[in-house]
Amino acid sequence: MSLRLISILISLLIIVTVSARDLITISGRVTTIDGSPVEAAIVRLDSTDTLSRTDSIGRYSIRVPAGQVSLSVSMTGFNPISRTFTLFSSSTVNFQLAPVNALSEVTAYGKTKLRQLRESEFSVNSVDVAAAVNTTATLSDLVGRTAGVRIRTTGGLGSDFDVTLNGLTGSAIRYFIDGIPMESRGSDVSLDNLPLNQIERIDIYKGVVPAFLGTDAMGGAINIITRAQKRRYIDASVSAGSFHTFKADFAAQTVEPNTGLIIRPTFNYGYSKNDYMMRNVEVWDKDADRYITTDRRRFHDDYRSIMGQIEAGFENKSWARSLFISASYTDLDKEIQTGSVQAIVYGTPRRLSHAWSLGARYVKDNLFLRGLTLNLSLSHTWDRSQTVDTVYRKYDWNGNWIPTQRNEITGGTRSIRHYLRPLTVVRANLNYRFADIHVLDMNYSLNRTGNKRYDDLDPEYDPAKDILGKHIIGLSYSHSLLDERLQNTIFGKSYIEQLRIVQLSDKWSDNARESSTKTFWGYGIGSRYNIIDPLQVKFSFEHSVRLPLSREMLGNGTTVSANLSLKPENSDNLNLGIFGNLRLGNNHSFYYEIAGYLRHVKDMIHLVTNENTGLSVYGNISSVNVRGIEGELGYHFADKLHLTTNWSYSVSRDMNARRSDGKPSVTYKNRIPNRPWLYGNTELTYLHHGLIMPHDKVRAGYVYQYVHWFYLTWEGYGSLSSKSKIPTQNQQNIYITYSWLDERYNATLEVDNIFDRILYDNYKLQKPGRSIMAKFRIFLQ
Amino acid sequence: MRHFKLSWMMLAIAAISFTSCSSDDEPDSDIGGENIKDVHFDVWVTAGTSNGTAYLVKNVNSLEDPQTITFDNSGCDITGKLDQEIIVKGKYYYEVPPTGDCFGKYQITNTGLVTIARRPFEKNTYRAYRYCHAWIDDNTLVIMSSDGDKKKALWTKLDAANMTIIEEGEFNFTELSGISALTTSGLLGYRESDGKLIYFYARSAFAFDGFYAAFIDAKTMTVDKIAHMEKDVVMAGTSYGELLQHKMAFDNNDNLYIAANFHIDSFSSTTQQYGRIFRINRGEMDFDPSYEGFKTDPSGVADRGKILTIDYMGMGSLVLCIQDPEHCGVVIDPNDKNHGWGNNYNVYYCMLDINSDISTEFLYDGKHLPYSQGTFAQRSFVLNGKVYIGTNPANSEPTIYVYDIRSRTMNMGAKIQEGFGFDRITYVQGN
Repeated sequence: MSLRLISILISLLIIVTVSARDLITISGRVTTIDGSPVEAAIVRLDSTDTLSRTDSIGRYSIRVPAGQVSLSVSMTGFNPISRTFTLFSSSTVNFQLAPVNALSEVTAYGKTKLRQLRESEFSVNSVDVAAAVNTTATLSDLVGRTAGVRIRTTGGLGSDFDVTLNGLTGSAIRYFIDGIPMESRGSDVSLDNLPLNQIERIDIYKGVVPAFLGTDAMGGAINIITRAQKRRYIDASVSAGSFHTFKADFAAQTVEPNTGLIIRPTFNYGYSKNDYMMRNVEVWDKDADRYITTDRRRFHDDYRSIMGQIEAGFENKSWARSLFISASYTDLDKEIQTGSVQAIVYGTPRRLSHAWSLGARYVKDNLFLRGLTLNLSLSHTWDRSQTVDTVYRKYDWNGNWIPTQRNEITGGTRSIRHYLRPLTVVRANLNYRFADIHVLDMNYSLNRTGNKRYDDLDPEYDPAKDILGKHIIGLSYSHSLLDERLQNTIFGKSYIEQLRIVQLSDKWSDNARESSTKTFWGYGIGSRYNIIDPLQVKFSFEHSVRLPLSREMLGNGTTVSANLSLKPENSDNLNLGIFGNLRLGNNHSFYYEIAGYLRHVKDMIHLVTNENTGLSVYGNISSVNVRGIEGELGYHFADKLHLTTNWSYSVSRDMNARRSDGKPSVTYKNRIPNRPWLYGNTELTYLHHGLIMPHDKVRAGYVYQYVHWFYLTWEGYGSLSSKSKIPTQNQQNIYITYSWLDERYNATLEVDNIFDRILYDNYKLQKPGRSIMAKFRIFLQ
Repeated sequence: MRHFKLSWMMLAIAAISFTSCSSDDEPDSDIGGENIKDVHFDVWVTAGTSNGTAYLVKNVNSLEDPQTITFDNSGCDITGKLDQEIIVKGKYYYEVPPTGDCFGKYQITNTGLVTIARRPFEKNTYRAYRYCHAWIDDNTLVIMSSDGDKKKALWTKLDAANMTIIEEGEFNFTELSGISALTTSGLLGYRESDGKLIYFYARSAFAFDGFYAAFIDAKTMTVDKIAHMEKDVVMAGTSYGELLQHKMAFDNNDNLYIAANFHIDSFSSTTQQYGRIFRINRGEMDFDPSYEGFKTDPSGVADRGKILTIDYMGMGSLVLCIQDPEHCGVVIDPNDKNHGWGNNYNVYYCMLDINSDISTEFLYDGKHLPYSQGTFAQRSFVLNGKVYIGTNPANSEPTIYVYDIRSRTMNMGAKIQEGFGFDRITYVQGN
């Protein structure tokens, strides 16, 4: 299968190369009227992002399609010029720029997309991925450094992870790629294995989720915006480092000049043995005739992922703003080293999964009416996973084993368990902007997941073929008033859940749900007022509903059991924040944001792990309150120095006044255990131009992450000496990137966890110690 | 039916009152349970709701003092360290920990858990709380369980004093019994009078088509005989052995009484069951065909609920913990799929006269003890001539009642701070 994928990618590379034959090179010099070279002027092919920057003697070179060519030249302090000519072979064209005479110096500061989002009425962080694309960080690393976000990972590359946004976690957070649910790329595609070089930015909506995303997210949504460039490019990188980790990413785009056909192939490969050292684990010492604590390397945690995607389509046509069809393939092979607690050691089980996906998306502006935009997308994914647990052995941290009479994960019989979860996602969005200040948005999304399961070896396993479907209809109205200083949004959503449950494994439980159709309603409002630039306020509220996912209700076949009693969760989310920007002179700018939030969640869906068996099941928590406050402060010195720090305090309280037996609960209003409640991130980056040669850059960064200690179980009950705690964690990472020839070539060295501290998952699973990674990236355009 | 039942209950109370006058004359030899002078008690509770459960254990010197046992910054938090399903003997607790690779010996104190020793398995391995056990003597423990394929029963004989494996092996009970599979853990008892281990197993916990008793010579670990209970029942404790709940009891003459249940046909779920007690007499290697306890009392009342736990009290009586929504007057919610069974306040305690099959509900101050909730709990035991009974009433604190077997008097003992789940009490040698 992998060979087939590689063949496809090689073919795509050939396409890229062949299509380049129609290009010609225009080169020349840009000078002032008196003949002095103009350095750093931009020579751009009109209506495209194809450009060249002049060097110190004013030289440029640009590859353009043969035929009629329009080039524009611009430089601060000079009047821009444009020229059109017809060329069929490579030529030399020189430009002369005239200085601006009549204008006094004006510096314009446009709002970046990131800033526009932050200044929307929603509580939203936006992460610029471009600044980190040369590092070995993953998307989850970048998301985890933002305010109010905590990433929980259970180990190294490819390990399970969870995002907590403002106190809500798990599937309460939904993930999208360009507005399309991420699961349509395969159930094992995540923030942890998506490559950075395809991504422009990540928008993190906290609590209140805009209706256009058309989802039943409850705690928030993460929308990954992919790079949308009009130019051709090849972006390839390799990285390698500790724990036998190797990654290769490739992304390219070619544009067929006659038809405008755009083809975007991407390919990613990731591998790690994850053989990091486990500290203070117990092994049997035969000589001492007792268990001793020692350090041992992980020995069964290999992870390998292959992902490929090809997208082809058109942009900026009269009949469509964009039309793309895509096909993707994901293949993962992951060994399983431990249960949910590290004392449970496995030596042979593995999880395999692969997913094929076909999709199409279409955007049409001014459909029937000026200002009416139609956005359609459709995808179908053939998602298949299997967990192999066929060996009767019991392992220890020495990697030794004894033959046993049962499998490793469940202690049952040999098992090769298959899950087939075909997923169909349909999304239709109509957005109507009228009278410049009003926007009406209607969204429909369909998500249908099949759940066929069977076991090759276990005769007692109950095969089943269940279906979970949901339809979500959202309607929102937004307007901006007072010269855009006031923005308001109001929206409503309807959620329809359709279930067809066949499996019998959980039907003994008290409230097991069977085939049914149910409707739920949600609504919300958001507002932002710009008093002055340094002081803006925003407020948003949503009553949201989230329907259980297939893996939550139907399990994963091995470590997560089915729970047919699982109910949808719903939440009232309130956000209130102030923020502002302050610029001092040309070089110093500050940004701050302070936000508070309140969530009242009913029937919260929550993964309950039995520490004794290492097995889990999703359950409902009838009532939870989450309150928190977070702050972020940023300082920028020109484009050289960036310092940001954010701190979050979030407390979730058990609001179940009664236990399941109907009696008063002693933990009523107590802090929910095993959750970080105080954490922060600080990041400092420094950028230096021209260290060795012109147009080179050195970017150095330092990241500090802090998590305050917390109890594993309910505080206040049991003597303190007997209670387990997850200790305070301090992680410090550094990196340095050297880029030359206008970032065509980039080399990065990164050290994570430089002081080799022991870091933990919430359940005290150890994470990797100090690691060193090197990365080399080429970006050609 | 309720009137008949009440009448018989009154009659039984009268009979007990009458016989109580002569209780001093009864021989002490027929008092059930252990006699241990130097003893303390462990109260096991759970804190938390569906947000996560903490398991707490508090050592107390007496359950009879009218104190309220609290857990505010006191007691031992054993969450993730020990299971509630655990073997207790003498001064120690024993269990297969979650790792499944060893057998551990522990002490629980109010300041923390003490691991005395652990011994890795050499051949047979066991899943945490999915095995059964029996003590051959004070130091020799046998644990048994079916294997992963549920074809064979594994056994390991351990020396609990020095925590070594004495020997281990397996029995192919599916082949010996002609069945396709074994239940997860089974039940294991040791009959001291003839040195027989008796291992109970069935082909399925939900088949309700009988079960088997294998008589094993404890010295040679060879199977002497397999008896078949052919009634449409399955023995209690198919999955967890007796790690939490007592599912069988020996009387002082070494007759074994085992609880079994049959499914009530009118319910589609298997939760609803009525209990029976079967007997294997001393020295015999088959079920006593003349005895089927808890079946029909002399008034004709049949099917008196599901047997959750069983202990031998003495005086020819068993202590039973019974789940019976009808007896407990549960008002059945029309939306309750379990029709009053499951998580309702539907559990009561009674003593069953083995000979007459009369069951008599325990009373305090002339009234029945508060009804409790919870199918998986062991809140009672017999010790030093007393029956300790824990209740977790719907509307008041969990309370322990202590019944003096000789004087036939019931006293109210300690209460437990409200707000906790109360599932187990144990006694441990030493203060």
